[in-house]
Amino acid sequence: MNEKGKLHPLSQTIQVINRIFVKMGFEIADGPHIEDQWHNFDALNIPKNHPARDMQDTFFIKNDNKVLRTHTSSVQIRFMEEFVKTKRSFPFKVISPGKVFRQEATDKTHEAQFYQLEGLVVGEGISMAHLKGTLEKFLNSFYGKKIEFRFRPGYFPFVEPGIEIDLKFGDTWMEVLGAGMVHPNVLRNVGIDPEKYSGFAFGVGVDRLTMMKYGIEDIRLMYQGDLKLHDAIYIDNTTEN
Amino acid sequence: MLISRNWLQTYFKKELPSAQNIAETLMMHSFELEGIQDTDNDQIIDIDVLPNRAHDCLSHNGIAREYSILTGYSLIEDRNRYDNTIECDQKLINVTIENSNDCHRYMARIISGVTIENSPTWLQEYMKSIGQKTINNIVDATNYVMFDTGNPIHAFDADKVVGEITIRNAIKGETITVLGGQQIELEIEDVVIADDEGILAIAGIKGGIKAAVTHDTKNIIIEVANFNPLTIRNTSRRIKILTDSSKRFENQISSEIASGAMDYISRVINDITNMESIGTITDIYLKKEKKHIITVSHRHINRLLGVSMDISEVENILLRMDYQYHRTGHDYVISIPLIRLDLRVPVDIIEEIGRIYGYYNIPSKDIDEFIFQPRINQGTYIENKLKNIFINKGISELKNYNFVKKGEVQLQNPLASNKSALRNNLHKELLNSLEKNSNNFDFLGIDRVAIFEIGRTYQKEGESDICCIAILNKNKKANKKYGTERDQLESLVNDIGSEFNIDLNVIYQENSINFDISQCSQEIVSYQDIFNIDSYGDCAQFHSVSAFPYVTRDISFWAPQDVSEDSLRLIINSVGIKYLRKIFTFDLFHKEGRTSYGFSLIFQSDDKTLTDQEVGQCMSLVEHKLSQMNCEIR
Repeated sequence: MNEKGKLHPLSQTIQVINRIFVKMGFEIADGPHIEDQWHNFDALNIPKNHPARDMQDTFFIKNDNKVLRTHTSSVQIRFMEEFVKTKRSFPFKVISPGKVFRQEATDKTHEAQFYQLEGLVVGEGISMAHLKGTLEKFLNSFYGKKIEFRFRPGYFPFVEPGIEIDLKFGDTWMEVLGAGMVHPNVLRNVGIDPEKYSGFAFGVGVDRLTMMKYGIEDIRLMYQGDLKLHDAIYIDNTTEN
Repeated sequence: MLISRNWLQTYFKKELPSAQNIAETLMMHSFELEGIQDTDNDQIIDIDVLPNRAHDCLSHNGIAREYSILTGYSLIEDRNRYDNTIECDQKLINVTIENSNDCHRYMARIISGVTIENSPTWLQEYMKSIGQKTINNIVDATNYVMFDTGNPIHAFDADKVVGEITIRNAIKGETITVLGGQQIELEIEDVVIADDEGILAIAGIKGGIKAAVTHDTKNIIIEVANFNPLTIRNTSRRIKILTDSSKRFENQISSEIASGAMDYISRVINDITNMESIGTITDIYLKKEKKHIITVSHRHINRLLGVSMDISEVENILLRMDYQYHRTGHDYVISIPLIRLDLRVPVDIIEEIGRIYGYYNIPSKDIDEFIFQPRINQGTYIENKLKNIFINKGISELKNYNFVKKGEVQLQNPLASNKSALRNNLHKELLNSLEKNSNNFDFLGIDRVAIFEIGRTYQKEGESDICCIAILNKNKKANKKYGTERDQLESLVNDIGSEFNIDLNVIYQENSINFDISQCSQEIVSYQDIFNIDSYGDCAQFHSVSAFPYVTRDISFWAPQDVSEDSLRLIINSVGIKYLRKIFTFDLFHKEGRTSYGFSLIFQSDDKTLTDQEVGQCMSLVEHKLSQMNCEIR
């Protein structure tokens, strides 16, 4: 009897990504937003007082030593700790979509809250070629066509080698994903033997992907609780109804 | 960091390619690229050197070394050597380091009889090209050599230094007036350069006015040092003074580059001033850089990168990197250059090999052969199951901010006072959204606002995932169509309860309900059909959302029966009225071979509030066009 409601565009993107990765045999993980510094920083090879911590502006919780997670990498640490504790057997493939927070001034392309999706695969003999193959599959399914992309060096403390991935739209390369091979310190921190196992990780900003997909220019429109956002996304050359 | 192509060229005999070409090579193998700017006679490359290479690449020298490795262009040897055409005299600066943990190396030398004047043109141009102010020949020379070698350098007026130079911790409450006039109170953790009278500089961060080089300075003391990165970082953060010098020290530079920098600054000052004599170098080097050896196996390299390089390929890369190494069997035993502080474990070397090899050369491999039994995440499943239920019932999803004015969990460093806490409920904001959206019934073409948010709330004892639904009917007609808001909410509660086979515990707040989704659970075997919502279609594009009010005008008319509704809409749209946003049909019936239409037209501008007159003009255009199509306006 009713017309259908609409998902928020960010949830729409996450659903599509979930669908793709579930089909590729990934598990989905989530974790707390308020994190201890071990899961958000130390376990991820981001030591205290290291300039790498400045790469992300962090919200601290009052009267507590905790932070608002700055990335969903913290979920991956929790997933791996649990994986080891419950003696599940390798390999594993997991994605963690979720909200993250950065203490930075907001503008058209920056919000203090946004969504991130990270992926992690660990097993015996996992290589950067597998990272490339996985992202290729993901990007082609997500865009519904073959997408040209390139790997170039990047730096994230929790991976080494660290990679930035640019996608080509028309003549323009756009920086979209960060990735790399899980740093042995990270594996060691969660009790996985880096001599035996290796893994890759990647991360992507869901807001950015969504904005690129629909051509939304201002990230702040996402969090106004306003249906005009949903209403403004439609297929051209048709009349409204 | 800004790199001048002309400056970079001074490292090479061979003519460098264009800045675009240099930047592309660096971007694909080493750093991130921010942009390239053309100036009158130079090109400036803006490179983002990330924290792992900030210790050795925040300089033209660092970039030149990197470029040489990547391309095989050979560096000019002895570019920075000071060839001692003027003999050293016996003058020696006495230096004491009280705390070798905070000052790893300290080199100093006196240069006598300099004339302070403007820098020569070449130096001024280099400084300008990378956005630096020119001050005078001595200060410019020290800055130039910092941006060239990566080692910060300081110059003191030797005649204002009384007695010996001591590198020591500050005494609590001690103050210094730094260049620029700001007075800083120091703590015991801070490290200072002092003479017998007091403080000359905050080590590695900023000089004081006491021994500053001024226009009548005759004799100078040159300092080339290396300090503890953590100490510099902490002091600089606390006193809120970030300088090009502190940035380099806090990223930790190798103490090994100091002697080259001392040579080069001596040479530059010799070249640009008529100095009379130069003193012997004092060099206190208490904390020597350690030699590191890394052994990495051939198999490890190929296994991690997913490539099949042979030994000669790997060795070729190691040679290009100028590493001292030997191979035993399938192991490479590599002596790490003393200036590379980032290379400590095998995977560091693999990254070096990978980026020189080029990540773009790595093949793609499938991971399907890695078999894993994924589990279903209850929370994700339930959340998306609920979304499916709501979407099917015509309820749309909204998202609000997690930051609010008041809440149980507060932030230590909020962005604003009205965002100083984390929300402990969803309904307050969602009820606001309900009201906000109810102003747009006509614009959205809806007769009720039905919205939900599923999200995290924060309490003292932890976090909860809450689902909140809010409904507002437009009018009595909508009440009849959907039932009252309360009826609709109650029926939803029933539906959710029966879906999960529970007695759903909800809280009613005005026109909303909310509940903790952890109540819902289900035996789940797969995510089948759970992620299949498609609210927008593949080719959907965003059209602007205007901040200005909209105006609705209705129009009713008779149209000939052979003209379809779609073509009428197209015709109205094609009149080219720039403010027409939407057309809704509110009435339609056929009579005596004609069709009667009632259309609501929504007008809105992206950049102003429309006047009655502007909307009136639009309407007359529409009426005119419709009459041309043999329609009769009613």
